Order: sequence, then structure tokens, then C-alpha cells
Amino acid sequence: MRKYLIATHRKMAEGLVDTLHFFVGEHNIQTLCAYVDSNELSNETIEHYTRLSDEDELVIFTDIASGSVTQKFYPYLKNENIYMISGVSMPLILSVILAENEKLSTNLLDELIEQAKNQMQQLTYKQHENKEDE
Amino acid sequence: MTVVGARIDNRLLHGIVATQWAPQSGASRVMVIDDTVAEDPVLKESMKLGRPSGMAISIISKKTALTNFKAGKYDAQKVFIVSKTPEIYLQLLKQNIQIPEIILGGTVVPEENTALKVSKRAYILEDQFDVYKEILKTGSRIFAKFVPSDKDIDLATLI
Repeated sequence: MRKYLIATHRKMAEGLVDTLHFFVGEHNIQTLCAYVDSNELSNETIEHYTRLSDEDELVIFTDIASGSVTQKFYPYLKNENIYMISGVSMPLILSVILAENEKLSTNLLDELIEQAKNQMQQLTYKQHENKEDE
Repeated sequence: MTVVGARIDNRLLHGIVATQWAPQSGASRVMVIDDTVAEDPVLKESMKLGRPSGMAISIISKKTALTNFKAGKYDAQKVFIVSKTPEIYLQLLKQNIQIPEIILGGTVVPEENTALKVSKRAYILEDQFDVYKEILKTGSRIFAKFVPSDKDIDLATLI
């Protein structure tokens, strides 16, 4: 089974899942909101989220690459069924979830990251105006 | 001045340090002084994710730090240090390394009710009072502050 975890500093993870449900309906995504009740992120917590059966795959989304949340999960990438992407955004999660029927690999995730990056763009007024409009 | 920033933080080099404190200090090297992380290759590799762009990184034990500073290894560099506890700063000060300012960023929430809460995120344990006092005696200043925009809480007024 493919599993998803969004792990962030504080409550961004819950917010992302709330918005995600709005777009794609209920989906089995776990969240970890670190440092809400404590100044620490325990190894037990990390182990809880990374415990998988042989058939399971896990994609972890984190907020910032340099942060302690990403650092804590990093050692578990030794498990080939666990993948991690930092810099989580709504387009990124959507791309990954909508590719649920494709075989998971680092190459696939790289492609999906590229798609999501294209969704990050500056919008300027009237930039899309075309002579043939109207 | 070699040490351009110093911080006490139970999470060592994490997001807020990597994206705000270290870059704002103008450091050329970020240095984690911690025996546990320095001796564990996996923890060490994980913490390197926190390297701010363009900065060198050292993740070293207290002993290595004291030896390297004594040998003048960092004399031509600007170093931002993070440690979980204050002792190393006192040891460096005793080696005549100048550390004008130390930031007490965060500590774990202690079980001991003898600990002093100095900010929302930082405590001083009973057995650390003397270390902090000795540091203040050298002329270094200590401020409790989690993010740079927090108001300074001057430890000299609290202990």
C-alpha cells in the first residue's frame, strides 16, 4: 500500500491536508505537526511513522530541507520503500497523489517535482492577454 | 573576531538556525559542537542537511573544537557555533576565544522544578546557573531569543 505523510514544523501539515481533502476528497494521508506540544521530536515518533510492512511504500513530504523535521527522517531513507521530498506545496502533493497508479521511483518523483515547480509562477496583470481574445 | 555568533539550542542546527541566525551572522562556517552527533555518522549526515548555502560546516566534538580553536585553525574565518548547553562557551572563553554575545535559543522542557524558565522556549537548569554566571563575568552577554525578531531577554537581569 502506498502511504503518505506530511511532516512539518507546527500545523502546516494539517492545513495542507484540509485543503487537499477539498480538492480530491478523503485520502489516507498522515500528518505530523512537530513542536506543537513539545520542543522535541522524539525518535519514537519518527519510528512510529516509518514503520512499514514489506508491501508498503511511504512518501514523506516535509516543509524545509534544512529543518530538523527533514533531518530526523533522513536516516530512514536507507529503506528503499521510503521516499522524501522537502519544500512541500499543494501542487506537489496533488501531482504525487494523482500519480498513484504509476510505479513509485525516485525518477517518477523527480518528474512530479518538475510539474509542481511549474505551478510556482509570478502572475503579472494582463500577462496572458492575447490579440485574438474577444 | 572569529566567533561571530553563538547559540544554545537543543535542536542544534535546525531550520530557524540554518535560514535566519547563521546567515544573518555573516559567518563563513557554521559549527555544531556536540559529542553525540559528532560520533554518530548517521546523525552527522542528517544534520548536514542544515548547511546554509555557501557556508562550510563543522560537526565536531567538544574536544576537537577546543583543540582546533587552540591551534588557530579558524582564525581567518567567521564561525557561527551551536551547542545544546553552555559549558563549551565557558571553555572557549577560558582559552581566550572572544564570544561577545551568546543566544540562548531553546532547551528541552526540564522535569526538574528547580529549573528557571527564561523564555517561552528556554530553561536554565539548577546546575547550569554557575556556568551562565561565569560566562557573564567574562563580559560576554547572553540573551534568550528564539528567532531574531524576538525581544532580547538579558540573562544578566535574571540570574
